[in-house]
Amino acid sequence: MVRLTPGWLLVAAPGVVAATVALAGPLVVDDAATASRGRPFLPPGPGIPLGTDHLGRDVWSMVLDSGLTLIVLPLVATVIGTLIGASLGLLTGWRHGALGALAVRASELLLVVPPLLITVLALNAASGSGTAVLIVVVALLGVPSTMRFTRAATSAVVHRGYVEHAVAIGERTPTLLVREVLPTVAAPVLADAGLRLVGAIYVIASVSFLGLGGSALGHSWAGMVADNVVGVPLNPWAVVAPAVGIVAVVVSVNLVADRLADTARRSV
Amino acid sequence: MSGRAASLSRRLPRHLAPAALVLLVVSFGLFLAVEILPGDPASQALGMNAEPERTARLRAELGLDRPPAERYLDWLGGLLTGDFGISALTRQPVGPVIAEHAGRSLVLAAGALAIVVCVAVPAGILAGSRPGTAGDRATSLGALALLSVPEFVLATLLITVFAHGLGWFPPVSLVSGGSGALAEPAKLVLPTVTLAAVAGSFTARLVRAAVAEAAGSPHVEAARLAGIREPAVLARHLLPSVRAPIAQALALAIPYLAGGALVVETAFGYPGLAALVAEAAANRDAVLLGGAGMLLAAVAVTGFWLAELAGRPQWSG
Repeated sequence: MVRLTPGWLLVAAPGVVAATVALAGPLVVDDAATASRGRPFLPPGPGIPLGTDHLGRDVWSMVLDSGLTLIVLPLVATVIGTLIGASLGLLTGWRHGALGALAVRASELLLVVPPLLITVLALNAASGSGTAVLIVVVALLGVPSTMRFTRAATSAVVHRGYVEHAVAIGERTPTLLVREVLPTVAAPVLADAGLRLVGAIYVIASVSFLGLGGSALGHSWAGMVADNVVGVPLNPWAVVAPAVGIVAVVVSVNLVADRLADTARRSV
Repeated sequence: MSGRAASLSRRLPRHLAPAALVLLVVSFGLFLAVEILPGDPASQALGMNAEPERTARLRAELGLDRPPAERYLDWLGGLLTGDFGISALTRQPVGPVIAEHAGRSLVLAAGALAIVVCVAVPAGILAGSRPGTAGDRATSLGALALLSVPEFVLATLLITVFAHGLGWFPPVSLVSGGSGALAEPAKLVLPTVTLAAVAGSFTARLVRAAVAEAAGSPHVEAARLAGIREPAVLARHLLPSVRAPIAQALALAIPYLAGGALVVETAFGYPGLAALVAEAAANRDAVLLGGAGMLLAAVAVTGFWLAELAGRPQWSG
């Protein structure tokens, strides 16, 4: 199993801090704190530790208030995508039929077109109706990788003694998959889901930077970066603070998930 | 020599077929996404509240009153012959616009690919040839960290430090249309570096993994034990066996460049193909989005196709 070493803590710490700020921030900040304080892009001063943004609001309060989007939306999309992908992977890995092979082939189509391009096109087709479509698309984008990964892990487990024993005593397939196969492949699949989460954050953040995906996305760290980039010469903190938040989250999640996936892959 | 060429020409159609099939499916999906689902280009161009007669007139003018299957085949045929259609927004052929933007993107992508070849590949080789050393771990960790950072974050941080902070490069890379992108090289530096950073960390990781595996192989170990010096081991014994994986890693950087360009070009205001896609999506210009999107997807698919070719033993030479 995985042991907590100083290396792990060091890698995870920035993400934990940023995620805490994002999750607890909205509870701390009230409407008065995010109201306009006066001129836009003021440098840091008394009462405004990171200066003001393009609408003259306190940058620190805005960072606290708008971190939630880039944590919650990718998480929801990743959970949906992992559930679909892992189910498909379990089923196709269990029974190596023509249908499974076809599903893998079809999923490769989603892998060769840049995910961001697919998302932009899907949002265009959805007439900009936004967040729900974005979550569905990002969830589906993760399905091929999760499916292939789970399929491979399942195939490796199928012929182990305890599974064959369960088959021999006549367990029904759904029971078998949930009770015998799932516990073994769960850890690698969860580690893989961490990597999918990084991809989901990447796509959702990039889409909101491009100004697509509805108004909910404008209210995010990525939206802050896009809105405040014109004011960098006057107050760089309005861009640097949300940018650092995004970097802390994605780098930590990626490094931790990569280590977990490595360990889990060796165990299967 | 002629035998080899003949076998190549016989094999090529078979290798091209899967890529062509993928592109066909992509074109169908793209056509569905931009032409059919949200209401056609005419109603998009005129808006929801336009009088029905005006929309109908524009629809007839653009040939949108024909059945979808016919329009799809027509559009597909146009793509193959270089006729990308007429925008409902500007009433101009989109082909020349796409070509001009694609040319500028090519300049950026070529620069980024050059950086990947000259920096990321050697870094991957150095890290992989001595796996487990401090240098290897630092390179691997750095590449993995960089890989996860969205391009727009990297772009904005580079703009903040190098354009506004140090004043070395202009913050916006809006190159003028006529003079071409190469006339103002200072404007190309930051977007090229951003584009290369993400694709390069991806490539470096692949190269490192391939080299690390080869470094543990018996013949390399034997060469080291025989007292052959490290540069010679690298050049004569290690690298020849990883030429194919390195070519593959380079080809796989191409889809990364195509995807990353969507954000990088927009972040720097660089008028390339990917920025055109983002702009067409924002303006809801269906014909422009279809053509430019198809070209971008084709670039990505080509990258995967090249990678698959490089992975086949008969091509690795």
